Amino acid sequence: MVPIARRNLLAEKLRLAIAIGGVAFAVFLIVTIQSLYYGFRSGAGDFARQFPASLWVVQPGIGDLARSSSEIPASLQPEIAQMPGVAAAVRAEGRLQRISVDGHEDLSFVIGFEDGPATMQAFRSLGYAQPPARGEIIAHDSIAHRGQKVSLNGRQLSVIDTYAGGIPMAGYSFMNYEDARDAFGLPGYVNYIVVYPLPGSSPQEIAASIQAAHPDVSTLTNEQLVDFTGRAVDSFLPIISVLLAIAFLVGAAIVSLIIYTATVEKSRDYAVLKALGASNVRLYLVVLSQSFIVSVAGFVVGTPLSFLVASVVHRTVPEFLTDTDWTSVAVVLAAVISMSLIAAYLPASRIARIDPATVFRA
Amino acid sequence: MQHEPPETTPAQPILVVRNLTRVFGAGRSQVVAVDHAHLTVERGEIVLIMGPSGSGKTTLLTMIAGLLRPTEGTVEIAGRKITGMSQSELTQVRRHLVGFVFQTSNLLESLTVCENVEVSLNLAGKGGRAAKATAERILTALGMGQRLDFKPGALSAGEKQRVSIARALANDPQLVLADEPTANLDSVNGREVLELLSSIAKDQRRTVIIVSHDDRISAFADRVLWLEDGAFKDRLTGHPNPSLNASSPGLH
Repeated sequence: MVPIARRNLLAEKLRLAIAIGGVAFAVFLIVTIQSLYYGFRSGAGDFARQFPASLWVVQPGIGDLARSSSEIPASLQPEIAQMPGVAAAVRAEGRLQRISVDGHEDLSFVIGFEDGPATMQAFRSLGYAQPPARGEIIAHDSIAHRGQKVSLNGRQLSVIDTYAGGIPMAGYSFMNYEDARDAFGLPGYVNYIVVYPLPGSSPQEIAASIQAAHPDVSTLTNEQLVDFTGRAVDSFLPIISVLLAIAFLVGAAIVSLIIYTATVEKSRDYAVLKALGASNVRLYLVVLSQSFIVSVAGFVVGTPLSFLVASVVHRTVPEFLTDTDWTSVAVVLAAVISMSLIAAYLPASRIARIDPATVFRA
Repeated sequence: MQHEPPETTPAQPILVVRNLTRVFGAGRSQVVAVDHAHLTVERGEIVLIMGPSGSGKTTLLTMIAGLLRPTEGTVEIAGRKITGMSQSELTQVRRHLVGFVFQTSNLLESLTVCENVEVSLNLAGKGGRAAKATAERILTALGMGQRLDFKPGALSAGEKQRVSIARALANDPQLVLADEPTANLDSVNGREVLELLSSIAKDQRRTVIIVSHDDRISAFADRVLWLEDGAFKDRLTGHPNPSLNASSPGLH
């Protein structure tokens, strides 16, 4: 078969390049926005996934750490530490705080864990040699670099390392527990008690025991913490959906406009083909093929471009967290195919209106 | 997918037009473009339809081609009444029974010479190497063998018209409809194209109906019909001439 669709497209190379570029840009936006969402969502849950504690004792109603404030009696800690199945119960102070670096302020969820073997083990699980000592901080990498000095509630802290996890606009930082108590602790209360179960014991059973003994506190398993923290990112979902829809419509509009103008320009060719015996369906397939070729070419250019840009940008802007798997790429491909179908509608309806008798007019 | 061409009977006239009428508009703006025309054309015949601008020549041709539905009357091609056929049946008729040569060659500029002919074969369900070989054979026979991979933009007007004729012949049609085939050609090229159409009719026993203003074509035609105000008339008197509206000899 003579590839009419391909030849028509290649006959106007600049227009083809503009069309593919436009779709590639739309695909770039779709992939980037989508992978940013997944990146933030995954990054938000990273801390809870990596942290070896299985249970967080919190004030009732608390969902995630950074967006809510929990205050529970500090006196519960020794009692919980003695409960069956508990290896350790560690007090923790955590609060969303302003951190100043070189006169520039940022927000970070800063948390400090009471010193002890369990905390030491937890920090090793996160990839650090030890928890911060007094006057030290492991700062979120969007805020400060190793070796810098930061200011928190009037305290000068040395950045000994950096951390990449947390929710958007509130990356996590770690400081010494005593420093945290001095900075924002309340006498007689702690924000959290972190429970490390003994090997083989069930976090759910420990949680049930804690709540039976102390109905005025609540517990969060790590899975619940991952889920609730992820919901912080989900609150952006309506905005993300609108942005994705705009990118999709821009891509479809570009393809449709390009194919439509090409169809109008080639109206006489289509009239000739109709006169020679081409059915409307066959001509629809020609414009659909053109739309498909442009859309898929845009996908082929735009997808790797988005990975490349994400990789380059992440090096200079650490909070630009992206995460893409093959399923996401397949979803984008499906969107691109839908784009090509939608974009072919106007040109196809134009073809339906072409009168083959016009070929007899000079 | 291969499509079977509609069956025809060699003994029948290739074209029978009865009482063909086409009216555009209504009321005071009504125009009768073709007015109760009758025409019978035999196989292998070359018929030239002449007439002034606006006489209805092209409207008549488009109705014969099945591209325009008549207001009244019938058209039969190879014994098949095409008036009343569905669009898909008309499409089949145009693919297999009718070839077109247009005033401007109407070649697809983005395709090569060979592909322009192949397209016509593809539409009739023939594809692959066989279609390419057929296209090359027809083009070579028409003297375009050295231009197979050229784009139409690189051809002269005469060469383009040869390719157009090759495309018209691709599916071995029994009826070739030519609309002003020499209008854009100089006298030499025009003569070559007419000789080509003449040999197609005589050697291959195909029917050629030519619509033209060009008097020089009459030398190649078996019959010349004069169409005026949508009806066949005596060219000299301008009076309706019922004897022309049949398979009678025309004006020479």
